[in-house]
Amino acid sequence: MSRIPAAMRENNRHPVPHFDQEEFLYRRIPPDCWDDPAAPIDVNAVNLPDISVGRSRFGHPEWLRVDIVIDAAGQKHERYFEQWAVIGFKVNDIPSERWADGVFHYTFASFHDPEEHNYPHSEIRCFQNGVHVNALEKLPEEMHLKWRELLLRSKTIFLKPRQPAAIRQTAPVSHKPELPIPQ
Amino acid sequence: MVKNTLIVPEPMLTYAPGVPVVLSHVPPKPSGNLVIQFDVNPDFFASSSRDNVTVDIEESTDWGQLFAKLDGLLNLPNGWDGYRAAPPNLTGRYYARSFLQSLAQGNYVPYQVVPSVIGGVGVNRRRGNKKVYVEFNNNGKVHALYSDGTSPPRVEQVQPDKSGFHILIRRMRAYLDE
Repeated sequence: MSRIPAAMRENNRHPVPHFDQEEFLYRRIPPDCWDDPAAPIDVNAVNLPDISVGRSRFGHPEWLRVDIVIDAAGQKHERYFEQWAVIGFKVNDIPSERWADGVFHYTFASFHDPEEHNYPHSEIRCFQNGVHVNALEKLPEEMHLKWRELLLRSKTIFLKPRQPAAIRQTAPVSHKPELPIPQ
Repeated sequence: MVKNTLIVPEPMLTYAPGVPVVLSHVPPKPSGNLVIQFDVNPDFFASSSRDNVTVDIEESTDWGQLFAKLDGLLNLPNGWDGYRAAPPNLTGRYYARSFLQSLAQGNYVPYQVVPSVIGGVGVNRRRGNKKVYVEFNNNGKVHALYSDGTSPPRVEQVQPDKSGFHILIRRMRAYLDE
């Protein structure tokens, strides 16, 4: 039986471009990066754009623990990321722009990018002078760690490693996280 | 002891149980080959397992665990972060190992040795609110982040050799301990 709630699926819904500045973007964190709830999470767990996230307007933090993954043979499988941590960033806290050499203007923004099984799926993307780019390739390397550290500082922890959570079956009523997460 | 030199394609580079291996400080070639110096029979490399690692450092059990964890990171699968992260490769591991050896010489113990979701290895040390996080990218670049959680973070590129790592450790001590 699938763990993916029916309310999490796209169900022919269209993307909603607008993000409230107080809306959270959730991201699951692997145990290889953070396995001790008493230890701090570090910048090694924070990626550069494009960053896949789930938006709080349409999903709960624990929904990040279920996903469809593609194996080496190209087959899709449902995977349950049991005991993985989930953190979140407010849209307003994403480091929004950087300049390089006074010429290259890098901006960062959130985009709703629904998937068939995952309507809340969104991405934080990077733009160089308005053109969508792969930040790992285009962003000056000295900016990489700074940007990731600034994003990390703004995090909110929603699920610690190994924290039990029941997966809610109904969608949230607003962008505001509905806490506590039921066990 | 006579030193030999061998160029080993990345997929073949493994270690044998009980065999001390000394990596030289020759930067890896972009092709993915590592130039290594060794004081053992090269036949060891052909038949041994990556899981059985002995490093050429006489240190405490904790240091051994750190080196073992570093070596184990190579076994992470693609997408180990639940998304699309590549595992650390031999280049990232090579420089991280060299840095750990420099730390071990001064018994300056890191807080964590961890994989990085951007592809590479991270080594950090913390004191109070301060931390220094050193990232060894799979592309051979090394950067150090100095952060106290509130001031603007500072990032420096690190020269990935013994000299560069010794300078880095001095700066880490100055930032964290003085």
